[in-house]
Amino acid sequence: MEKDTVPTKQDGSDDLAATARFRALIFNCGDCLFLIVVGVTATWIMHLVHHLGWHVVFTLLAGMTVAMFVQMLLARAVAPVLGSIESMVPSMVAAMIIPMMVCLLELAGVSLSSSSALMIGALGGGVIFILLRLYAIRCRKCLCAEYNAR
Amino acid sequence: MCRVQCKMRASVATIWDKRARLYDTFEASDLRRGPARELLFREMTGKSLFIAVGTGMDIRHFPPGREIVAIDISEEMLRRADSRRRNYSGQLQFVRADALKLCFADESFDTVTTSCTMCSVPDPQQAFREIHRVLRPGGKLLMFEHVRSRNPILGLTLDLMTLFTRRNGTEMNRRTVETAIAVGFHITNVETVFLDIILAVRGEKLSEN
Repeated sequence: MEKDTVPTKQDGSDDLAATARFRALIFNCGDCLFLIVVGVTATWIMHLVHHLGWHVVFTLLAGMTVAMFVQMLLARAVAPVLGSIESMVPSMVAAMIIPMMVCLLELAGVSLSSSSALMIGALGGGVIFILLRLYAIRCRKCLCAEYNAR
Repeated sequence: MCRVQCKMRASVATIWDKRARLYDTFEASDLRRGPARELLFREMTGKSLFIAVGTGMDIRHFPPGREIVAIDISEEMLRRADSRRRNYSGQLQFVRADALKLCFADESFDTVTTSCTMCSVPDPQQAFREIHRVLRPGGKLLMFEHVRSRNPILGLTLDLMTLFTRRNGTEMNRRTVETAIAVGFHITNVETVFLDIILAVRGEKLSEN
């Protein structure tokens, strides 16, 4: 999600551009890892809530509330390194969407083991990272076309 | 009306005085956003106004040798920024002032720069009107701002976050670029820093002729 920070070289800022590229790579890895951790945590929480045997609506609400609360704590913890908005926004999306997958599978009659629930979480986090990365590329092109041509 | 405005300004100042203590740790995100900020701030030319300098995290990215007036509504923020001000190799003056009522003459600056400012001012349109007033015709507007995403899911997430952040003085879902255009600025360049949420925006105040 970070390549868009890479500056242009037009003002002779080669060093700055190289620094930005290197940091972008590191932060992309950090973002991906963090989303996987959030995905795993969120699905694990939802999986545990499912074991309580409540009605599906209560399970969904309780699971998502707890998952989002934990996600906020995690995002707050990594904010000094990854950035406040950069960590909070994608992880909130992950904590909202990924636990729903567990609920949908349970509703469909699929009984998930703990390890498969965690796998779904990790996969979900990775997929969200890739989707956001693609969206970042699209945004850069769209905004460039919209404003920079004026 | 004035009493209400004065009360609102006092409460904004109080919020930021309180947030000053942990601001550098949790919110400045300099490690990640630093290079993009530096590239934007390099374009500060002539007499510059920097709005909402905060704890001065941005000062290290200011181009050297410039004449800059930096303002903030919070006394505590300015106090914390003072050591960074002393390390700047140029003319950097601090003024405690409100972005909604700038205490400067019309057309007195060549560049006006903001950094995560428009999310925090109570009335962004009024802030832009004031910037427009103090900027000379043809002067540059440089903004490093976070805005509402155009993506429905991300936009909704930012709306949700605003429910919590609003009481701390931050709105996550503002349409800052559109507001600048509505006030009369010509936006010349928009670069994405993070998705379409954090943007480096360049604009100008058009000359009248």
